[in-house]
Amino acid sequence: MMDPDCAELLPLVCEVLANPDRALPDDTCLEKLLDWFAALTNKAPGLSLLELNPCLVSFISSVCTSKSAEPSVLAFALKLAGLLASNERAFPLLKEEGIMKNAFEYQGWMESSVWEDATVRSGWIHGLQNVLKHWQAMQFVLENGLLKAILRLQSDRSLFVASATNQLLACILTFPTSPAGHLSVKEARTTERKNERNACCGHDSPERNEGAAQIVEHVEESLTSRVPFRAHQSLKLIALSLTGCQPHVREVLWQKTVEAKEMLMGNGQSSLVQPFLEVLRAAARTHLFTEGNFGVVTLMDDVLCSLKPMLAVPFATGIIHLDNCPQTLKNKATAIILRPLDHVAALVLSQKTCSGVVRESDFEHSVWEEQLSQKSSCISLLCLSLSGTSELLGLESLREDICVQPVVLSVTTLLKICEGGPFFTSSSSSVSRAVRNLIGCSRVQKCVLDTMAALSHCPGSDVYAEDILSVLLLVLQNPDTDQNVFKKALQTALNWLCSGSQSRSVNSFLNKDVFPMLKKRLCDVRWEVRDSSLEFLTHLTLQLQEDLSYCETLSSSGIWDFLMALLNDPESYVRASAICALGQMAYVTCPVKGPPSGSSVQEELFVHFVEILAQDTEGFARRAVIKVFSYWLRHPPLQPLEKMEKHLGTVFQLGSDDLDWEVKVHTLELAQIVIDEILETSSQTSCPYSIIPSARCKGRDLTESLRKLHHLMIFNTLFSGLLDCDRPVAQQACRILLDLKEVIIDHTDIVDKTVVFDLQGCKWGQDILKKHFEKHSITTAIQVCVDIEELLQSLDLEGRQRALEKSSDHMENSPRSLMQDILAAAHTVEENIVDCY
Amino acid sequence: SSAEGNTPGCHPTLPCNVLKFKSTTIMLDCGLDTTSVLHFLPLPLVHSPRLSKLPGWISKDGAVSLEKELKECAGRVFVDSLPEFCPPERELLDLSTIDVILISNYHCMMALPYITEHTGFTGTVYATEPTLQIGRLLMEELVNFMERVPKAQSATCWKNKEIQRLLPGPVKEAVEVWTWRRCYSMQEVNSALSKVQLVGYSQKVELFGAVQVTPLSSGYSLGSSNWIIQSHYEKVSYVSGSSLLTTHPQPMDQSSLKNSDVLILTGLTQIPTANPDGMLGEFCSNLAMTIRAGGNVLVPCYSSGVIYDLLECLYQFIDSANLGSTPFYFISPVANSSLEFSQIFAEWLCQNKQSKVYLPEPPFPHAELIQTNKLKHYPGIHGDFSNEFRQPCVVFTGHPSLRFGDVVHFMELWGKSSLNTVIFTEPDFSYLDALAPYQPLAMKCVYCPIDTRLNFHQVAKLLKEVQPLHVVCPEQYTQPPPTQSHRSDLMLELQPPPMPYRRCSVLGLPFRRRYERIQLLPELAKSLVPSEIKPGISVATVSAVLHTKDNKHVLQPPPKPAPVPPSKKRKRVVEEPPELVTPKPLLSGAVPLEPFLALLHKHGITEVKVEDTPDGHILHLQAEDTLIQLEEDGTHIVCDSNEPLRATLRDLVLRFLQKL
Repeated sequence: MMDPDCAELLPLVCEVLANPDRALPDDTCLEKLLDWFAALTNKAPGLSLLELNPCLVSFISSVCTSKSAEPSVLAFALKLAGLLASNERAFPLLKEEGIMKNAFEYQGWMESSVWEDATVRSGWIHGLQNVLKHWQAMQFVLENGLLKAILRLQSDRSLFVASATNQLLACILTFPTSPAGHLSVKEARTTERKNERNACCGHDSPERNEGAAQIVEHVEESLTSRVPFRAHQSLKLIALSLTGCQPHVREVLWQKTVEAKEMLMGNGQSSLVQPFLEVLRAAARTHLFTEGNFGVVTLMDDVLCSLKPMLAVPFATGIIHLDNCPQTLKNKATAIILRPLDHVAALVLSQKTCSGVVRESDFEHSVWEEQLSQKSSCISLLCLSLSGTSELLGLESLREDICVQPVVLSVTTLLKICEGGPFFTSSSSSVSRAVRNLIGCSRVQKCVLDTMAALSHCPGSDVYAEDILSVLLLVLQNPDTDQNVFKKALQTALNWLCSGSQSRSVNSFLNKDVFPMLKKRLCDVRWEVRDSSLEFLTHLTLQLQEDLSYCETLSSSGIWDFLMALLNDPESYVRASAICALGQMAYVTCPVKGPPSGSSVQEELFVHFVEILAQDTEGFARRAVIKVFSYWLRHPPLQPLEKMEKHLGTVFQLGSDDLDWEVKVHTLELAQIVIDEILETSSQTSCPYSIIPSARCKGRDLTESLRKLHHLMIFNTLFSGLLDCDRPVAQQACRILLDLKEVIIDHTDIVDKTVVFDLQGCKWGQDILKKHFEKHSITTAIQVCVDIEELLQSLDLEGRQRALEKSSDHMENSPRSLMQDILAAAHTVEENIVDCY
Repeated sequence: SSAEGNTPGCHPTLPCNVLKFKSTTIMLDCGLDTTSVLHFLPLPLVHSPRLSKLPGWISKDGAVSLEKELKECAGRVFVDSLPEFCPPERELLDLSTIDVILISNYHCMMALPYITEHTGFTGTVYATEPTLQIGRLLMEELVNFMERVPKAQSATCWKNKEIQRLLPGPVKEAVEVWTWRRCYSMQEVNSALSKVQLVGYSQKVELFGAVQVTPLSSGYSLGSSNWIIQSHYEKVSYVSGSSLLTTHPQPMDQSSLKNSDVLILTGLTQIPTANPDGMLGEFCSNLAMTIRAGGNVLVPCYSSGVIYDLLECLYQFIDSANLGSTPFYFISPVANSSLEFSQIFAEWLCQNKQSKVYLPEPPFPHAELIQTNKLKHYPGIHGDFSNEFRQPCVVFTGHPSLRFGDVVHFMELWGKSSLNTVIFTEPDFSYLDALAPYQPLAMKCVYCPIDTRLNFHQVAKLLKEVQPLHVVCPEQYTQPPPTQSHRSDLMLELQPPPMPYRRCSVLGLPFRRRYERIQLLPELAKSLVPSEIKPGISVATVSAVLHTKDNKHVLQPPPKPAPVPPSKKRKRVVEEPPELVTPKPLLSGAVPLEPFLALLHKHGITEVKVEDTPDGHILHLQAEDTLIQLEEDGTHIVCDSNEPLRATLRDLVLRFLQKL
């Protein structure tokens, strides 16, 4: 329901909109209003919106009959009329009032000059589309001869109008034959609707059949018209409606398309090829595809072989995703996708095809040769082929059909060529000349790396790990490798290193090749390269942390010192990544050189990280520090928490005083982990963040725990978070406090719930404790003793949570605010006019 | 009257070509091939027990023994003597006939004393000021390296053809060893450089009035230039050692190279597969990696050139890689001058660096490195350096061949530890050959050749832009590198194909000179009476005396007829002024057929039979039995002994023609 404030403002707004002399604040306000009305019509039952707001009817009526209405307002009124009439009960009322006639009768518009404006035509089409939610509306369209006008607009000079018209026509063709699609069961049961229900049942309704026939006839005419735009639009319409329309209409539409195929496809150069392929794709999702007599499969097969390579590969990629696709077609599509790769591999291997699935006779060899021999098309075609191959490899059902070995061979060859490696030169073909353009081509390199990554998931692919990793190493070692390619190569290497089962060979590869390369890259001039190397190391360590031999290799690699040096990197991203990498590494390894003091490496690092938290000027590094701490605390095996306790208080103090809101949020997450740990519940709950006190948790223990939390500055962190001006921080703090409150309240047996807060320098103290003080008439002192349960209850945490759930701009986005803006803008312009004279 | 190119040098990046053009003989660059020194043992600054203990070489059958001259190290044989260089070919042409030498950059003048001294050379050498000054430093350094480690006798027996044939490995394949020469002396350097005349970019220098030469910025090094050699009607461009990258020198002037008849292209990058940016990055990361692991870094380099860019790159990298406390040493007899010279040649620097001078700030950041004590420079390892030497450190020193200079000492000192790294940045020497006499070596070796000269991709773009009619280049540029025969992108592909040359080849350049410019003196010009023969084109006859001196041609008014000689002395034929006869007027125009027939008719010649020929018409005057042949460039009247008729006909023809 519309709230009273809005209901009050609406008539005024309608008045402003209907007055052509009044200005609007901006052109999006009408769209926003429409969105609001759409939401209301979905919610409001039946007539109520119209009945309660008679101003709407008069607004539409006055705008539609006005000669001087703004086109944008007119379009708005038409769309609004459509929205209101989409309600089945409101429709007759609007019809009676003459609104439907005023708004949608075509004849009237044709004579008006405003029709020249595309906005108005688009509004008319969209209005009709809005209204077409029930059979009465459909009847209105068919009986008033609107279909003819709609068909004419299908080739409107404005592309927006033409495209919207296609949507509307598709809507008409796919209009459900059964009422269940649009009418609720309850409504359908009512007696007064029975007649209409009968009328719309079944596809025999003569008007409807006639309407469909009219559209089909128009489509046929367009397809054979030799006017490319008309044919284009009709093909689009067929593609849009083929899956949703009635079977007999579908069959006719398909028939018409097939008949016009020659003309549409031309010699493959026609602009109609693309929409024709869309029709084929749509047909493949219908019964036409599975029932052999419609010849969809045969047609697709033919088209696949005759298309230009740049169109054939994406089309083939679409085919492999089809359900119920015959194996022969799938094989052919697969062959097409792999073909450019085959071609390149052949340059090195001096054999024609490698995948063994391509039958040469099926293809026009020269066309492919020509495309591959030109620089730009060669690169594009290879990229298409590679991304298609990645998709192929991603489909479990197809993996078995592809022989992995030739694909591995092709991609490794291609990557070697990109690196400037040797290829078969005795073939002085134009392709081999074009292939030299691939040297250093990062676009192809990225695609190859994606495909290589996809290959790593194929069952049985681990036998190729060595080949793949050795080529990847070439890329990683090449100083000219682009930083994005470098990053991708590392990600791909990670896939292969972690998917391999032979940890021994992996470790020797890491030790011999990867770590020396990484050490050099950690000293690279480009910060992106340093950063990617660190990320790789972090992920690798995370993935292989269970592998003892990896941990040993890592410990003895000497990489630790390089990471420590990077904590002082000038680039903050790199510092942050170094922190994460060290955090991960300290967790799994015991570096060879232990610090002299006898404390653990992790503890030493902890102290170092606390310093970074206090001193680093950039948020990224500080965020990383808190995240590493969270990781350490959350994951056993872990140093006992007590050893770090003396520093944790500082961490919470620094984290909650930080200027970066993300640091604060991460600090609160850390607080949550510590709370869970202290309350000894985390291990017994499924969700790591919920606090359900265990039966073991005694009142006395809880008192002790509360003291501990207080000692660690966690209350401090939570209260200051609650008052934070950044919503995510306040939300997080509020959530944790609510959970804590629940725990405390549940335990009536807690011995002592008081904590002593030091108010000196405490920013939140004044606000949070003020109410509490007033209630207990405690005078302001430096140290105050507070009952934590009472304090939590006095804060109205639930109310605060509700307030925080609303986005901060909810006021500005409300319909009320929108309408006020409209009124204010109109008022301002009026004042300005008065000022001028 | 054609141009001709000779090639006494064979190294495409250290060229030495001779161009004969319009009676002048111009030597283009004077590069010294120093790769010959790789066949020699290193010259240690302090006694090296390792080198002195190397065994002498004796052939397997014991028949040939050159124990004194040849030493064996790690399976290779080296000559134990003062290193020698392979100077440009001197037999091909008489060096005394060379009129001028044009130098394009300081690396391409190292053979100058071999050409200008003791050869009868009397010409002039043209170079820019930085080229001269830095070239002098490099020569001085070379002489210093050689002279401070004197060797009593030099090895010569191994050069004997019969003996060389029996020697193993690379020494056997060394070519023209009998032409190899010891390094020149400082005196010869000074004498050679005294023949240099300084030029500035775009300055036009006249050579004997015949040709004009102009240096253009080539963007490769301080003061480096390409040269335009042109007459009034022909233009030859000489492109050598150019760079399109943004480094310290002034950017390359490309537009002035347009409209060349011939473009001689040399000095492309030696490592076309190594991108300088990537290599610079690789240099930095290897350096940081070594220092972090506690090792020392040795960078064998020339004392000028890429080192400025290396220092600039390190200036930015030092802080980011936490290398602030690591000492950087630059050791060379000319280190100080090199660092200081670079700062004073402001006008030869890129815009960015030039503008710093006005702030005022030193254009190169190495000044700051020196100020903050991060970079220290010393003339040699003895003296101050030995007191202040701290490890781990980075040392830049020469010579990049590792055969002489302070670098030999550091190779001996650091070679045994795998913590240390030697990083090769100069592309002139194969790093494996350079390292051969130091094997076995524990030290890590990294090859990061930084060559900023044009690569094939850039050359293709440049040539497309400047569109020379013909390109002449070393043979090496017309095929892919031998080690990467599949890389057809690493060669020049042009239409028409470039004309390749090799060492000692003589090439006729593909253009014929057709015109000469001649000057008319004003008083002669005043006397001319031009008459317009076509709109905008006037013609006049000239009678004058052609005076030619210093390849300049001047038309002077003819002398007045000499007054009657007062006495009958013996005449000297040569001084006799030419006899003046008023020349007959020159005719121009064409005889139109129809009006001419009408005119004949008017003069009573009515029986005319016209026959068309490919060149015009033949008119047969049947009654008179006379033929008139009207052609585009001539009219003939054939009539037998009827002079009055011929004269009449001639006058009729003349009526249609213009007289000058």
